Parts: sequence; C-alpha cells; structure tokens
Amino acid sequence: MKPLGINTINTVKKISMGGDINTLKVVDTANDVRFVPIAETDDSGNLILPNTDYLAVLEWAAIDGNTIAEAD
Amino acid sequence: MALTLHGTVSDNTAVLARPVGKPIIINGNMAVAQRAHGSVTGLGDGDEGYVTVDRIRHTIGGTTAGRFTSTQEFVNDIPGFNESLNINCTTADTSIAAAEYFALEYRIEGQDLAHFAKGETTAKPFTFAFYAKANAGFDFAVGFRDLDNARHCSGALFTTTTGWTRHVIQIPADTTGNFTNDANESLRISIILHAGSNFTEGTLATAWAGYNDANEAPGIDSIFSSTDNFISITGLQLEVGDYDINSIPHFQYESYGENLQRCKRYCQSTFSEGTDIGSATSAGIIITCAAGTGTGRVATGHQFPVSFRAAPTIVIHNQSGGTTGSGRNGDTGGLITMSAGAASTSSGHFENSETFGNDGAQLQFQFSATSEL
Repeated sequence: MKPLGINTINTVKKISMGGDINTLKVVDTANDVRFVPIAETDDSGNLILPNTDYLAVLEWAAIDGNTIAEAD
Repeated sequence: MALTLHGTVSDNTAVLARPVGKPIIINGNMAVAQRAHGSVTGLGDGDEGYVTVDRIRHTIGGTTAGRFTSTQEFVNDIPGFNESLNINCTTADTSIAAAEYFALEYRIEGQDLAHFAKGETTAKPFTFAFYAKANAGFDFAVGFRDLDNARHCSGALFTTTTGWTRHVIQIPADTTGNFTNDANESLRISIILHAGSNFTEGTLATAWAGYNDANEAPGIDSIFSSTDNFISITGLQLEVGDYDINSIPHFQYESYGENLQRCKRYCQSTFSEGTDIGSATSAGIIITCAAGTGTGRVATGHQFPVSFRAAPTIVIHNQSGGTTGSGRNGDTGGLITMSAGAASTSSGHFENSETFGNDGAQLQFQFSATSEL
C-alpha cells in the first residue's frame, strides 16, 4: 500500500465517530480505504502531533479542485 | 559489585561509551517484517514507503523507469545475522531525469536523540555502520538530514563489494541547531541508491551545512543501471561517538520479541506473526456481535498493545483478503462497509457504516494501523 500523497489520494470525507468528527475516510488511487485521524490543534492553532497521512491530506486539500467532503 | 575490565582500558572504551541501553536503530538486523515477508515486486512507480522489513522506508522521488523487488531475505553467509533487506533491480533506467531519487531511509524521532547534544557546544559526533553486499562494486551515498533545522551531512560515499562488507561512516558533531524534543521526525538517514542531477550536481556535503539537495549524492552509481543489479543490507547501527572499523562496538542484538515490540510503535495489526498484512485468513479476526440492525449498531473498541507514536491511520481488512474498508457478516458471509476512527495513540474504535441486517450476528474483521515517520 503506497503512502498517501498528492498523487495517491482520490477522495477524502469527514466521518463522525462517538458523536464527534475526528476522522477522515481516505480512498486512494488503488481504491484502498484508510481512516486518518484529524489532528487536534493547540491554542495557537498548531497541529498537535499529526500523523504523516494527515499532513499528506492537508497538502492534497490545498491544491485547487481538491475538497474534503463534509460528513453525512 | 565490582566492574571488571578485560584487556586495556581502550579495549573497553567502546562498550563503556555507549550512553543508551537499547540500540538507537530499531530492527537494524531486518528480523521483523510485519507488512510482507518474502518479496514485494513491481516497486518504483511512485513513492513506496514501508514495504517489507519494518522501519526501513523505500523512498522514491520523481518518475523513474526503474523497477525493483524488495525482499526480506534469509542469509547464511554473514555470521551473526539471519536476515537482510535485498533490493533487486528488475527494470533498468539508464536515462535518469533530474528529479529521480531512490533511497532506503531510516527516520528517527527527535525526542530519541537528546544524547547527541546536537546544536550545543558539547555536541557529539556519531557513527553509522551497516553491512552491505551487491553484485558488483558500486559507489552509493549515505545522507544524514536534520529535518528540524534544514541541515545535512553526507559523510562519505561507500563502495559495495560482492561479499558482505561492514561500512562505517563517521559524522562530525554539529553545534548548530537542536533536534526538537517531540515525536516527529528529526533525523533521516538515507542510503541513496539512485539519483538525478538535482541531487548530484554539487559537491558531497562532508560537513554539516544548510540543506542543499545538489550536495546529497554527487558521484554515486545507480542501482537501476542494469537488471543484473542488487544490493543487500543488514546490521544497521547508529552510535554516539567517533568510531572506525576497528573500534565500532559490536552490533547490539535485541531478542526478536523486544525488536517486534519496538516496531509496534509505528505499525501494528491483528494478523499473526508470519502472516502478511491483508492476507486472506481468519486467524486473529476481531468478532463483535450486532446489537441491532442499523448503521453503527455493531461496534467495538480496541486497545493497542503498544502506544503509537501518534494517533494511527487504520485500514480495515476482512478474512477474504483484497478489499479494504469492509468486515464480514458471520451469518451471511457478505461484506459490510465499516469505519474506524476516534483513534488515539492508545486505542481505536470500529463500527459498521451500512445497515447490518442480522441482529445478533457476528461482524468479523481484521485491521492494520500505522503511524510511521
């Protein structure tokens, strides 16, 4: 399974678990499904220990035309 | 209890100087391969990440025509080691574009590097050692990159031989730039096997300096120059201090169990030891029973046996193999779309995300979780 990156992410959607939106459902270009935790932020808006997949999603989402879909 | 020294004081210096009890590099003897035992073929068409042996990243940059197989290889021709990582070129690339890059990388958290005292006036030199053999003599580079301060140093090129050779690369102390005390990547060690002009057009960075990709790998050969080519490595070892081939401490072994536990900070799964992640098997499946028929009515939590570096990405597998994102209805055998989430470094949560239909029936699934650097 290749690491997530701007060339391997197909779709991203927020999902709710335990009543909170805390996870992203990421489908990659090989059609594999990964559940990536949304990193929390501190008072200054800095991410608290994001995993590398979440950083890859943010990089992907910053490209025009790519959108993180809202939860149902 | 008295400490007895054998031989001269200098004979014992190497052992006494080691400031930490555990080897800095985890799985340096390539013994643990949770994702895939044996070979993974057809690699190289994009960044590959972690493929076979744990903790060794296969990093691809640019677009290369070169393809390779990665294998956790059992070896019997190097005393003291049972496994190595073998990279075998299967498609050559003799027209190397500027941005092409292939390296085997080992990445280390900043909080595990305090004893290097990097950035202080008392900064320590360090030494990287490993065993390698190849089909011929190649010059490759080993790069050391400080991600916190955008600095790097390449030490020197090493030259492979057709037999196992222990290479020892000394890296000077760096009094500029502390490693950040956190769980993010601070130090990256790269064994660079293929690189385009972006990485070779400068002068090898033999002293610490601001990062300049042109100075990463000048003068190296390419593992992709011929399909005859292979390289095997094992015994990766990082020591604080300045050692040469005569004074480098012996490779510091851990039991397989200790080694595996340390690897689980970055990768875990429900699959058995010796079974590749994602295989079709019911061994290790998690079973939970439906408390209703609707979405989210079949749910369970799972506490990870080892805390992750950061909240992990989770992949759900089922016992049929192949498809990810689904579990299996134990009554009907049909696949059920699932979700995982609310993950912390210590636990995660799983539930069905489509109507289940069979109140009281089993939902069966496997999972893998990763929080790599």
